[in-house]
Amino acid sequence: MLQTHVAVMEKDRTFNRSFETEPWECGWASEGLWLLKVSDLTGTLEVTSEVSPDGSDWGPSQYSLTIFENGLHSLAARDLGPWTRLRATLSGEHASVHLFLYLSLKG
Amino acid sequence: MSRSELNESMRQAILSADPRLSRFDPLPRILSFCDFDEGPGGWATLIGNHDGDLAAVHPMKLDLRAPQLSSTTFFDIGSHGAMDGVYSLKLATRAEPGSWSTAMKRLTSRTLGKVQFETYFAFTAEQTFQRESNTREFDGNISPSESDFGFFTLLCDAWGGADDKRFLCALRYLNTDSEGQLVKKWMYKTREGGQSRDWLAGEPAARLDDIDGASQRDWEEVPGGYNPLCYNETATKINWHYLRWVFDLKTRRNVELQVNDLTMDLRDVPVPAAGKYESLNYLLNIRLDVHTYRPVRNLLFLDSTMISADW
Repeated sequence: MLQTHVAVMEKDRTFNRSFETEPWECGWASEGLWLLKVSDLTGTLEVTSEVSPDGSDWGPSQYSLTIFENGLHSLAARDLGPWTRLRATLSGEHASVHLFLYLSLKG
Repeated sequence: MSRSELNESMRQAILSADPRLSRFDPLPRILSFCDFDEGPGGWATLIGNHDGDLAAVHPMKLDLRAPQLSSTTFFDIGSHGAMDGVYSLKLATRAEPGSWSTAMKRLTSRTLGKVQFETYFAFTAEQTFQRESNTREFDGNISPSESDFGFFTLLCDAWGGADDKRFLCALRYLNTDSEGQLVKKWMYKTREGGQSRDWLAGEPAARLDDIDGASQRDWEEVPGGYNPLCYNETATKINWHYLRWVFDLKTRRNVELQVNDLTMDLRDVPVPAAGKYESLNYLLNIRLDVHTYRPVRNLLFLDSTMISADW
């Protein structure tokens, strides 16, 4: 049976600017799934799963998604490396979004 | 040798022969043993009470960062690993002054008696690369990062018996004060407060700077509680410490705290009353938290935990 773990990275927060989540160690996991409950979205939200060797320096992975509307959105990611985080980029005039943001890990 | 003496002798022999258990000194009944090589073991973060609307949550208890499995991987040496195996449980704050991380085990007790929590822990502040205001200079021995680690806390949240009076024993290792000056002392709290009910009843917002009591100002030194720990010269070098904490659900008091060779008798240390609560019968929550004063992540690692009782 696989191990699984869900981390609540952000909850009930409104963002008016781009941001990154806190780093999360995921060396034990073979797959990850970012889950975003999006509401009150103005503009667009592009999210990219990032990787890091040490939790300090970060680069993009191949896993990215652009969100245009409210609702539940998911972004699957593999090859997570030892650390992951999500970069979220807001674009558009008066861009903002209200989020619950989860990371589901399995391995 | 009596039958009970024989039983105890056999129990000690079995504990001593198990490399995972022989490092602990459990009370007669083991309630929980977690080696984080096998998962988080039921340690989860805290959130303040609510009815589904998180706007009702005590503002100090909304963004308590959750514990995560860690291979203690650093930029300079790679994976440190745990005391045994690969994984420990890590409590990591945000890199923001006033950020907290918590880990809680939610239990109930069969009866009211002594409970013991043991762990092997390590702590550090995250390595920083462009320091804005060092409180100390690096001299090859002393790491400035030692002053970046604020404090960590042990807390028991328990039902006190038939009168429904709740009590919360809490002990805090104050590594630095809020100005970054090293303190290295164990503290106990002198005033209860900060519960969701207090918040909804209008507790003064000015005191909202603590999740373990009414305020960070309401803590006093544990007698004999000066306890320099091993902070091994560099932020990315961690060393495991033994900790053993006993509290008594019947007397609603701490009993003693041991950290390596220092044992503090806590039976005369007062525990402030928390008042009467409903629906918490035999509540037994054990919690740890970490708090940073600086814009630097504070990290507490638990290699393994053991909770045992005398019933």
